[in-house]
Amino acid sequence: MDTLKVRTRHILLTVGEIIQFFLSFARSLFRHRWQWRTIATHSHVMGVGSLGLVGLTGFITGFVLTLQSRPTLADFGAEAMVPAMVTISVFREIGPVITSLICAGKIGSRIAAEIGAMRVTDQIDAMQVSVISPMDHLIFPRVIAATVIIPLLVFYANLFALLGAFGAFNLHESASVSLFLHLSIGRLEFFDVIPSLLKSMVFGFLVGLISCYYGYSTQGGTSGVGSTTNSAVVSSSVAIFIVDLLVVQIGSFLH
Amino acid sequence: MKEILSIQNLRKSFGEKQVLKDVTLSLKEGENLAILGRSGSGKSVLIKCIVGLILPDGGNVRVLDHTLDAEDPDSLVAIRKCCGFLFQGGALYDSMTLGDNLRFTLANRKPELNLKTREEQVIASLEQVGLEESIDKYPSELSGGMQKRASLARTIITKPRIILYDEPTTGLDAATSREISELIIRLRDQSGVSSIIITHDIPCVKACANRISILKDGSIHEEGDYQRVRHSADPFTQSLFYTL
Repeated sequence: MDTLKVRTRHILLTVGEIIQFFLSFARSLFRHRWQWRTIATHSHVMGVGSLGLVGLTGFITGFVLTLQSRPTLADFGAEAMVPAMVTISVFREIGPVITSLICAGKIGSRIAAEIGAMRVTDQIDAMQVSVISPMDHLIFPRVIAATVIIPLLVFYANLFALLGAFGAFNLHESASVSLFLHLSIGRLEFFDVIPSLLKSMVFGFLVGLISCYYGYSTQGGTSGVGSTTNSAVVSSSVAIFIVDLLVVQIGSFLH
Repeated sequence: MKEILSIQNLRKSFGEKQVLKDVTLSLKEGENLAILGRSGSGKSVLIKCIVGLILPDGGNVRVLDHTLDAEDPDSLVAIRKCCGFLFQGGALYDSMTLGDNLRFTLANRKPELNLKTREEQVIASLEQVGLEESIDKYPSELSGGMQKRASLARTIITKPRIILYDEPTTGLDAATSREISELIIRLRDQSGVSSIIITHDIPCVKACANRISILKDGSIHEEGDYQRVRHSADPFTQSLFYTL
């Protein structure tokens, strides 16, 4: 019981510190002179570095989803519905969530490790002593870059998922590209695409902010960097699921 | 000489452990003050409290006309603008070249300077520490001694009135330690920079320090010039010179 109390207290304290960190970030948003070049550099590193992994997982997701959903729909003679079902699933839910989880691992771990290593080697203290704000120069560009890049990676992964779905669909059926696009993208509506991209932006923001927070609060040398990197990935992933649950509920209500 | 820094009754605890109990000391203009003490006696905590990297629990820190106030970010900025800090590991920004370490610091601290002036100051600072040839090298390509000198170049480029050295010669061979000590002396003699030097290196203390303070159990135990402290009858002070 005591362990549960301690764990709960620790989680609540961490959430409180992340909110405090967010408030510092928000203040920086208004006083900061946006450094487009730094943001572009981080966006490039995050985006280009993730293209292969995100494309591959997107392709496999589309492929597997098509293979697994086809037999059930075939029982009802509704094979033609497979592309639409897969596309809507991917665009609305699977694409944003899976890609963001992968980015939490790939991008979030990198952010936490970079900032954590700077913390334990006194580089952040050196900035503070030199009256250079780490929030403005380290945190802000990374959070903005993650917020911009992760939705783009989600969109990119969705396209690869469509490609995978097309390949899997053609294992059993014979559909031209134009027919497949008509059966898949042709069935997408505003509510399938735009809200999910906005959701991806929120996921990107959370991955950036949470990873920066953990990196920034690293203590205890190199083992501390390992432990905060791990916490950054786990917490970002949990945050993605919690926010997804909330967004889906709000979306259902509005729809 | 005018007093440039004063600390009165400074206290700091970490949990149950009281690291600084009641530290009172001062630093005069153009003076090098060395602080000696056993490992874990709170020497680094003391200088981190001066620049607000660690906030003290009580007491008073005054640098020139500015009093450290945890609730007032402006006081922190004012104090940090007067002070430079040489970290034990150098703390160079490892994603930047040596030149960029200095340019980045200068661009943020003195944005009013034009590019040409900034570049001149970067070169001048590197020349001062003898590293102008290494301007395009990354910190990982520099030796330990070069990293310390590079870090010193980054510290002096903002022209601080006071430099706080956290073990500037630790981990360096005798010749490199001597080079660092000479730089500390040159900064005092040529630029009038005052310093607080945390060190275990007795030759460095002997060469650089005008005054020595001994930190024991979280407070200043003894104070004086090198000759006085070196020949002190106090067993603790004597033990430092043999065990450090």
